[in-house]
Amino acid sequence: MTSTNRWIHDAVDPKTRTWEEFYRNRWQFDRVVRSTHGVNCTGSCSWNIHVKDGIVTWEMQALDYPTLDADIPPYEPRGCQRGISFSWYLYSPLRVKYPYMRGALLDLWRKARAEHDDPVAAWRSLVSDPEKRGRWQRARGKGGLRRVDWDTCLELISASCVQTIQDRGPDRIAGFSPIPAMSMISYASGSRFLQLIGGTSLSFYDWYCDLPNASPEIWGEQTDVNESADWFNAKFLAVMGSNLNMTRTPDCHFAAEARHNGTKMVVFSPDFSQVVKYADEWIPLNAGQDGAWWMAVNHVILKEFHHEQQTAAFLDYCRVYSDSPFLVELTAKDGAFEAGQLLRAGRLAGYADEENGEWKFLVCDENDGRPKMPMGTVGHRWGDAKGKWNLLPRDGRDGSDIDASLTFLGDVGATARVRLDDFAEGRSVHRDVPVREIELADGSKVTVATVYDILMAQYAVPRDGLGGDYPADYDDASQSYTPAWAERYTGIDRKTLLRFARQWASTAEHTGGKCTVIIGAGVNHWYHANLMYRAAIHSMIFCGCVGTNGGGMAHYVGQEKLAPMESWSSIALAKDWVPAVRLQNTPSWHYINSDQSRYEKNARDYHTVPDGVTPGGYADCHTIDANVRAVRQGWLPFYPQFQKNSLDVVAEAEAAGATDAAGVSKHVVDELVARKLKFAIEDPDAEEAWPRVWLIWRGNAIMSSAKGHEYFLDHYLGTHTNHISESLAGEAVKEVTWHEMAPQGKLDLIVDLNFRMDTSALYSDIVLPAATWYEKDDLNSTDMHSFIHPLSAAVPPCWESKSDWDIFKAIAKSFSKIAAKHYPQPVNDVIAAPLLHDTPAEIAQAGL
Amino acid sequence: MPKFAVVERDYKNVYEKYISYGHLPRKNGLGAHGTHYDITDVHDELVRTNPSRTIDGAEHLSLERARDVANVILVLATVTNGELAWRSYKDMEEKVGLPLADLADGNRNVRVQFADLQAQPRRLLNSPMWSGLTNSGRAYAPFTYNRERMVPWRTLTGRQHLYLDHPLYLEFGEHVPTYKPGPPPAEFADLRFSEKVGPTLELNYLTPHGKWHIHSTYGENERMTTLGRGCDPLWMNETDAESLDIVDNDWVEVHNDNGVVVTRAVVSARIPRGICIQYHSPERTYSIPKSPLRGHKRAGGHNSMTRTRLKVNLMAGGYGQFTFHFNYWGPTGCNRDTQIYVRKLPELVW
Ligand code: SF4
Repeated sequence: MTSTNRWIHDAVDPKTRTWEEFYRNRWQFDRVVRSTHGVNCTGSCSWNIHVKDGIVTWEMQALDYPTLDADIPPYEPRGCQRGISFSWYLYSPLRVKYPYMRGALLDLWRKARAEHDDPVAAWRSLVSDPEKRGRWQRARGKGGLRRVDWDTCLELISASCVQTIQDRGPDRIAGFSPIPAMSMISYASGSRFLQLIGGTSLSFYDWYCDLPNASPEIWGEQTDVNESADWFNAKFLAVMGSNLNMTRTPDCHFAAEARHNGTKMVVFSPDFSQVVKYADEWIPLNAGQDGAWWMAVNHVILKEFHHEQQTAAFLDYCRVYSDSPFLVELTAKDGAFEAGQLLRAGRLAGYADEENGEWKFLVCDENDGRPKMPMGTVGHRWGDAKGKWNLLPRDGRDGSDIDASLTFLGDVGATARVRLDDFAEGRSVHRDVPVREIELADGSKVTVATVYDILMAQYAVPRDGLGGDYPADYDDASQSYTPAWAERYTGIDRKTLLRFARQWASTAEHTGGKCTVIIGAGVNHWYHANLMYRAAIHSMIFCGCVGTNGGGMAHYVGQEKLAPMESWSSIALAKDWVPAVRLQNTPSWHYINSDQSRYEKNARDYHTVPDGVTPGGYADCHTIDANVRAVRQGWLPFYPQFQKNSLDVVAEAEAAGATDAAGVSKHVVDELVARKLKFAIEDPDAEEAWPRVWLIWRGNAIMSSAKGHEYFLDHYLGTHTNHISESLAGEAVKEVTWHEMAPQGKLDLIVDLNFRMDTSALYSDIVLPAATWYEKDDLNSTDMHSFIHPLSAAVPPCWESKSDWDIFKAIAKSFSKIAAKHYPQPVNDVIAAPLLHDTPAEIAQAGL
Repeated sequence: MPKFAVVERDYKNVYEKYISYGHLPRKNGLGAHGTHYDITDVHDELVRTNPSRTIDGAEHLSLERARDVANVILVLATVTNGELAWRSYKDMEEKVGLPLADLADGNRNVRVQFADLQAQPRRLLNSPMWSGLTNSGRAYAPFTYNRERMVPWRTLTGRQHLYLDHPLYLEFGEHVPTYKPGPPPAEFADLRFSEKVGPTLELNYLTPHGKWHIHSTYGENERMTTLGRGCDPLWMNETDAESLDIVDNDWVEVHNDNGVVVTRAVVSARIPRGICIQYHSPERTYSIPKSPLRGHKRAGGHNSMTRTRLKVNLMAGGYGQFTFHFNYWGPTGCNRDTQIYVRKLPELVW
């Protein structure tokens, strides 16, 4: 029979097609359960998990997101090639099926337990013996994990926590788990346990460098962005540092659909990246030169659309929604003026007795030229008088209308020559800025300019009557930030830049601001990323694009948006029981504790700062010194907080007569001032200051998330490393005690909850088998779309695995049992916390 | 100075507290990003209808099972309980002095629980803790709430800040938008102790998000190793590669002071000269040979090339928007300015 004949034969006699049963069986299922992938992809796609005979057999996109507005294409289908392979993990050889312990540690532990009835004493006997401690530390990352029972692991972990609390302080117990939004209850498990015992929760979004600092700088907002469906509303999309079809796979279709709908799309990327195929125009900027591009775009926008054409919509927007009209004090220095801080309303006679007068600011009224104090500033937010924290153009004192002046150009003709920095050329430039003089309550006068006029000078927009180092025209490359200047950095022809800037601004003008920048890690991970982002955001503020559908800065890097934040944080941070928390910014924690700070000198060696900065000041010191000062000033947290155990510090305060929280605080402050008590950050390499126990869950803290991985291996783990750096910081550091020899192996114990045997698991002392995303109930949200959905247990956790929630519940139970003997009564702990956003501490420090 | 708070640690009752919802939120209300609302009635109703536990005679919501935790989160949050969103807007009205609660009018009877989400994903409701508005199927765009309702941004002037007048920003010359050159490789010290052994190029090392994994997850599974090259290769420009006698799929050794990576090269004209790309993240569980340059120890992953540097002016605090908040403000762990040496691997040793 020929092959064609056989096919016909099969068709007429189906019985012979029994081989097809294999496929039917493969795709059969008894039940379907909805879940998703908690993987910091930011995708957050709804999946149906198919189960047969208690085994997960396959997953398929759920395809049932509710629709948005009828004018916008649907979200479906959401998913990606990675997510659809997830079911493979449940039964794969990489699955962590049982608890494991490092063999060297297990042997020592069993012996110590035989010698000590009390597990805490047993643990103490091991960690206080450097030879024994070194044995399991050196074995880290060299294999030798042994299967062990749950109880042994729980007892050892609990004993190590109690011993650390007793001997060192609870803040030596730290936990890392990233991105709660991807499985928020699992995140909450470990952090709830940590905050109940007084441990340290480590941040992730800033550590991953996914936090775009320009967002808090400009908006006071961590990140708040357009859901991907809103790309469809944009009329101009500029895509940079974000490879949509590669990494925003489920959302990319909105960009394609927007293009079908007439949206223009320009992609900036030094390489021919995947998303370029969607672009109308590909602009291959030199890597890391995005800031130079946007600075020059802003030069063009300000020159043409603001100064020359006086585009009313743009000017009105800046007047109401930006700080453009606010007054900045200029001070004379070395024959020129320097732009300084905003002029405070309280310094004027008319506002001298104003509540929070140091935190309310001034504009000049267009009609009579007099200074007025708009409502809505931070001083209004935290004042006793309520109801004035809004953006209405009215004076906060007398309620009169304000028509704020954007510029003083041409009114009275006074100008001041202001010194500005040209960091690219390493020089100062001097440009005239229109100014006024304002009389203060004490009768003296200050010179002021509007923010807008200072920006016009900084962006080098030449205006009639203003002398100084302004460029002659767009072709003048001698002055930043002309299109000709930008060519040198971006590698892109000035005509291309001019065309882009004009199209960008005129699209915004004609559509009411529907220009969106889609941006991501490709730009955000540079040292000066805040400046690059800020320049791009300025282009959208100048053109009124922020705060409208289809407009604004769409930054997607981490799955940072945890939508039900209020109630979740009360559980995750145990704020339902404990009113104060230990939350650590991880970049500082690792920079200092893993001793990466030792491998560099003064930050000024590589961070370009103005000439004439204060010697030894923040801009002229080793970064660790700056961080120490930031902690002392209450700017940043740092845990461990003191060289001493914080429980002992309270006990001492109480012994010295303190009877309440105020008394304890006073004692602590007095001791710090007298230098009898030291912050841990002032001597981080002293044994007393080391972090001791590290709990890791839902993340890969020792590889994917370990910037300076080889330094972790050296200084945290005490095992083999491939870095060849030598300590360089000895001469540069002033604020910290310098140790000639850097400590190796600061950590007593590393515990990893995982369903994959990944690098972090390989280097941990204990690996606990965690449930996968198809084996637990949880919640998931993202900023890519505006839905919330579940992770669900399609099958129970396989082998001996448990959900993160249940694992920390078990740890808490075992911990409580062991602690009952050592802490039969409650004890007091003192928490040092930094000044916090969204609290009255926002008006704590007007100067340095 | 930091602020000091004294709290009680009741170590023998950590487990009891872990599985029970404490009463502080009932007493103090909930909020985030400067919002606030009372939950007493909703909390007490939940205690009646949902699993609860008694501690010292007081009824507490049970947090024993993850599903119970989910329901407590959903019923007490503004984005999933419209009545609470309405209350939170009401509270905000007082601070702002303008009407806002109408933004939640249509949602007051919407309440979402875990089982609802298992049936179908639900859209998040308008809430004053977020800046976008989503009524009537409107797509979420940030700051539409601020722009349309005249609610200030949470900044010094309440407006969007083009000018940043913190003394530290003035000191660093970043009070105005500006261009700063990237850190120069020599002073950045990635290559202070490394030596060029044989034909070697210095390149800027970039580690973007990849195609065959999310970070490292999925990358090592059967399907993805089959679809990709079975490792995380180093993408480099063809002319750069040619100068080192490297052809596509050759093994290369990538190193600097911080560590070493050994992987295969993908030689492609799509990469410009002077940079190389290794999509992150490799895992030490597969495809990592040993490094001749580092005493034949096993090489590492992309973070073997990195070292943390913090940008000091991002430490500013106690001043408007320059005030610490977890994951919200502070210096970041930047990594793109990393420089490396690359050479052809002389011998492949597993
Ligand atoms: S993008 Fe969607 S399908 Fe892909 S991993 Fe993330 S949640 Fe899963």
